[in-house]
Amino acid sequence: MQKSLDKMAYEEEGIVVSIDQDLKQRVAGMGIRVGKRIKMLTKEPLKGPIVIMLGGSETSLGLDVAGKIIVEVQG
Amino acid sequence: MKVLLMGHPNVGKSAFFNRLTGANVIESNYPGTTVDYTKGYMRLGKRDVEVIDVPGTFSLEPKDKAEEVAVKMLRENKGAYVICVIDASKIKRGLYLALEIIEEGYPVIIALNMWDVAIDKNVDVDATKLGEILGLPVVPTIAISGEGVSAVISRLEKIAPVQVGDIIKRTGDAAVDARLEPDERWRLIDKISEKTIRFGEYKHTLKDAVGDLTIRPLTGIPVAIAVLYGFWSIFGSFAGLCTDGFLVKIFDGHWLPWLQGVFPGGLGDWLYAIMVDAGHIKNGVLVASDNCFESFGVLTSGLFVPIGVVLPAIFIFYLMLTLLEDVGYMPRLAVLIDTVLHKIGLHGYAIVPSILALGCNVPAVSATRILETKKQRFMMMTLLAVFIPCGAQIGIMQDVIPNSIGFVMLYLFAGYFVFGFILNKVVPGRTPEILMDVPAYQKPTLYNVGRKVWMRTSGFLKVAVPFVLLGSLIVNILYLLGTIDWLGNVLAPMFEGWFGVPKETAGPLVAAFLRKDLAVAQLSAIHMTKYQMISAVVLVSIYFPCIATFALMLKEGGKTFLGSLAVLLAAVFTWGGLLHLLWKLAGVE
Repeated sequence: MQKSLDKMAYEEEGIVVSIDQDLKQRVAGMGIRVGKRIKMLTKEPLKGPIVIMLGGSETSLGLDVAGKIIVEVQG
Repeated sequence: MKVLLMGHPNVGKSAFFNRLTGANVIESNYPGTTVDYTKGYMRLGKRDVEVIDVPGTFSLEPKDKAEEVAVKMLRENKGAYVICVIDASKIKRGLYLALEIIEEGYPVIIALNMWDVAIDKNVDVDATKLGEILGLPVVPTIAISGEGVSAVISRLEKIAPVQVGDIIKRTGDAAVDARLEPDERWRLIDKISEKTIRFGEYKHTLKDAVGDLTIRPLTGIPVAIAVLYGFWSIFGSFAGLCTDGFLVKIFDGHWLPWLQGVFPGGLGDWLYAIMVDAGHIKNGVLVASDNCFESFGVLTSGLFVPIGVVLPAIFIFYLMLTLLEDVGYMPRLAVLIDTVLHKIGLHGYAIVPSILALGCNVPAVSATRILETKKQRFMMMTLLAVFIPCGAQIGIMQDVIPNSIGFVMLYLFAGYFVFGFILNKVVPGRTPEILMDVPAYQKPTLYNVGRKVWMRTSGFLKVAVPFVLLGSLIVNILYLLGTIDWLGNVLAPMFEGWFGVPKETAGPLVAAFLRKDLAVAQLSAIHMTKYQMISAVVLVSIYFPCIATFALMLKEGGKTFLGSLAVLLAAVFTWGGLLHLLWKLAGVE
């Protein structure tokens, strides 16, 4: 099943399938790219940012930014 | 020949720079410390070569002003040698930046820094083979202890530009000539990584577990509150202990009486009044002061304020801030607080300049560069200059108004949010969301913490002492010339009618332009009620930033400085006047 990164549940894992063109360049250097496995670490309350885990590093993204990244999750 | 030191934020670049040059550079565990570049010189063969510590950047596609500076510096120094410092435990994304720099045609040497961390994390890199494929030297290093740095230096002179097409060929693919797209670059990194890097089982360490706990809201928010509260109470009790328990006794008990005895002139003499003690009128008679707050002299108050009161406060503030920075807590605090700050158009990282401003507004104004857009930087700069009192001022407030300081701080923070909310609505521009790396916790080293606290504290002394001395000199002369009284009388309707403070406040407000701590100290000598005192301290805080901050805002903000000034004036009149109204409503005036 595919969903955007901000919709992932706690501890859920998925693989990035697409990133909005205008965001791609900006996140490429941080290691966020198509085909990369991502784990949702936590979500801050009141529409706060999310924190994801990828390749041993943690990255925090605002909800709108996260909405531009689509992941494929199991089940 | 120039050497540029480039890499992601928080990979030990500045530690590396120190090892190369022997210079003192402040390094921190979050992006934004090297928001401006730092220059130094290293010995290479028989020459002294210029080394530049470039601000950390994730790629050559800048996403904030600090990264823009980094990219600009690379472009401006065509032909420079680049030492690309990579966190070896996160080698792949480091290689991304390295490839970008290689593609730009620069000769590059790669320092695989934090090699020990990589070993801990079971990341096994074949540095020799990686070097062969890339066609450039790859050296494992641990900059904090200096390992591998001399190997980098010895191989630096022989590096040359590499064609990215050749790298692709060495991985066994057909070369493309054009510049790589992000996806192609990552494909190449994956190829290289297959041949040279083995990722073992990722070990979940205790550091990771604590890291998780302090970023998840359920546990992280209580921890954040505890940390900030602890910060505040240690700050207050340490500074109080040093000042009241120790330094006040020295200054009031020995220094002041001694000067009063030996300084030529004596009470009533103009030079004596400026340098030692102006005295005050009691029952129609001019009497000598018995403490350094009231004496106002350049050599008494002028030394007591920065050394007796502010120094302990600044020292403990920087010690605690440095510990939080070096452990790596700040980015986590930024994520937790993002929710709130995003509502006023800033983002979590605004917490860095905001907290720095509690020490001194000057470095805080530079730190606004970590924010992405002009609008955010303008808002942050204005808000911190107007509403965040600096450590020197807080230190004095602890001593002068110990019971109302909490209220003053809350009132100022409320102003920060109210004006932030309004500015966010009226200032045009974008307010992008947070997008940042959260580095792992690290064990701070005594050497780094000690050196940083020393540099920051001595930096404060170098700026503060001359300014306070100069400030008390100018204000004392203005008093003697009658300028302050004249100003007070002219502005009396505004002071008394609108702000509800005595007209004598004019003097401290003149001093506040030079030093806020001096101004608060001078307020303490004016006779007024507790509530007038609170109003006066709030006025001193939000009225013009001190001259050092002023100058830097002009430099950093350029034209937007006029906007900051307008906001400042609006804030002084509304926020200052509102307090007077509050007192009236509460019936305490």
